[in-house]
Amino acid sequence: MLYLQALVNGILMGGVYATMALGLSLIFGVLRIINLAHGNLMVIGMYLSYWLFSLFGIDPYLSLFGTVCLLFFLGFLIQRYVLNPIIDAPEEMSVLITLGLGIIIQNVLLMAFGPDYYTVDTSYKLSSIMFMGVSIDVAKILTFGASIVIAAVFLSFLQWTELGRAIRAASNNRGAATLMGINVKKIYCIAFAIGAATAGVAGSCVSTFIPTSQGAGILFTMTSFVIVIIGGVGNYVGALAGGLLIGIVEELGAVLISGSMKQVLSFGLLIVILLFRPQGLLGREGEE
Amino acid sequence: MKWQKVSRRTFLKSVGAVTAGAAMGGFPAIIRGAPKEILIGAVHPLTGLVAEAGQMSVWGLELAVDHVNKAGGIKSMGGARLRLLVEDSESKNEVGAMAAEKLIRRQIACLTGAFQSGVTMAVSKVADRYQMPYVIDISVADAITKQGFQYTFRIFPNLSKLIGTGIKGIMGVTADRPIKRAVVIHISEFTAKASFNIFYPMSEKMGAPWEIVKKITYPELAVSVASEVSHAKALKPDALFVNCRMRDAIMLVQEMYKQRFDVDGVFGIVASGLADPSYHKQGKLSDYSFNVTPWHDEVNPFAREVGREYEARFKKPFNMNGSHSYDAILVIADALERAGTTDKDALRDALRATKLVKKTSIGGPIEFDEKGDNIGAGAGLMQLQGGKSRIVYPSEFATARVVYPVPKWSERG
Repeated sequence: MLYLQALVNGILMGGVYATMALGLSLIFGVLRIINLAHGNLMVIGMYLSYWLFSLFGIDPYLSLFGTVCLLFFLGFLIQRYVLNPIIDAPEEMSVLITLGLGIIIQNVLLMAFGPDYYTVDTSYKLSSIMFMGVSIDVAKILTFGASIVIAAVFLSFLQWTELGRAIRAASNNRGAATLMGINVKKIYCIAFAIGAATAGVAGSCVSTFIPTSQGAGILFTMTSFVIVIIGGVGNYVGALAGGLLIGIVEELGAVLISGSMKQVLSFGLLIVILLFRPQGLLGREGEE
Repeated sequence: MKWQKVSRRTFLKSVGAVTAGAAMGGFPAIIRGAPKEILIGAVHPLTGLVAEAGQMSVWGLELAVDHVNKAGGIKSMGGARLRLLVEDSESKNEVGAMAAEKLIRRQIACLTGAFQSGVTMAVSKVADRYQMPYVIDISVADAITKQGFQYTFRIFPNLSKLIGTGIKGIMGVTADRPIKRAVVIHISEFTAKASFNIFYPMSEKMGAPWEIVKKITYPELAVSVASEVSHAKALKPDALFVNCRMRDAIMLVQEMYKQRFDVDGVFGIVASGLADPSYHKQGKLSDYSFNVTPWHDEVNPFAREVGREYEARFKKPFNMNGSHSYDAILVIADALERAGTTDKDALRDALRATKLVKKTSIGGPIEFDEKGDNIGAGAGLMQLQGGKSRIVYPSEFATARVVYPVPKWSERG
């Protein structure tokens, strides 16, 4: 029974992890930008949900449409004014810039909202379904659902729209895309904006069961990176699979071995994957 | 009238004469008459995981500085006023040490801080190297005062004293229904681990009735504690002994509720998360949980008065952070008053001879033993009732009757 409960916990957490990782996967995959501010963008989403809920009573799953718009806009600006200027610089430059960006976001939030922890008290915050002695967390199921929807929207967008094709083209070969008349800089802005918006959605979703605070960003960034690398860079189904795998390994590991081994297990898995399948579980050969 | 052209030389001469005259005659008189300013340096975490607690301490320091100044400053030094300089430790040991050095270079008379034991240890080393008197407001690790530092004093109780009081308290409030099976859940972090390393042998030595059936730990950056809670639930314990930070404390009770996991009581063993206002706001989830922690003395009218002012001014509850930091300034001001100088050695000697009765923290008068630990340092077993942290043990400081076993989740509405 305990193992079954841990498995259920793991699957649910996996869905949550996948939601966190999707936006990062896009930004990493298309722009080759190692976005260390990803978790901090999520935290902005969490704060937005919290305030919209406590001021106007808007449920986080509704307010996420607002979050999406705002973070899309913010993401666009970040790429346009901060990241595009270093487009030709070596990749590690983006690491430094996004790291700095993350620190700025965290400290602005700290100044604005203080170091307090906030919880969004929705009616279903504490709801769980008891099924054969196993409790199933309702808020996490909703987040899981959201991650599947986002992944589906992503896939269809990239596969079947003109803009999606342009993004893929820019990601495959920037030079060639430019020659084909694609405004690569603009495409990059849109891609980063979509990634940021997805981070916002993830933030809105998790705000219903993870307390909101300015310091949570690093937590989300780390977890998302592991998942993206395990699942395969730029592969959204991979992000889902990676999230699930990490969720299950962590939660089962917590029960079978020890809770404090959680991260050892997930990072161990990361190393194994990097050694034997560097392109990630679902990544294609040569994509690493 | 015809303006005479003033040559550059004449101009410089007259300006020089006026300035020199003023310097010799006028200005120094004014400076001499003004009360001297004594700088007190504080290192606290204002960013990072425990920023909220650090901020609450700094407010306590500020309030005490204001009170000392309003009461006429340090009278033996011509009414010298205290001024607080605060540096952020960013919750990092090395940053804390650098902050201490920076403050010392600014000619402070005394240091205080630093909340996290690791940072405090680093600051103590710096203080000792520069022979700078250091009054620790908050930090628990026993090891800090075992280093033979000559200039370090601590107001906060050390961990052994805290946990001893806690075990006595838990045994006291559960006397009618002793805990037989208990599960330990704690964050994998220095203070939590150190607490339980003292807790286990001390429970045994004190004849506690409980058997620890499982020790469950989780990493500091955990995003979920669902499986840890499932694990504990499967073992059907009477009580949980926990040590969490704030985020995980909230997630822990949320998970207990969602998994319908009832116990007779959740006891924080010096758990900073359970002592925090953000946790207290969790309503039915956080209510009735216990925690062993130093606290402000709610029975003492002076502490109550300070607490009211603190809450009105900073819009945050007055708790162990506010009170112990407040007391640190009282101790420093008292020592300065007796020393009559900011000379480091004289101030250290005055600190060593401290006996402070009027204070806001729980326990006896503040006096330091040969290691620099506060002999009068005390603690209480707290229980959250209606969102307020109440002292339920020891009885002389108690402000509420204990509720044990605690109501089941389904009975909490």
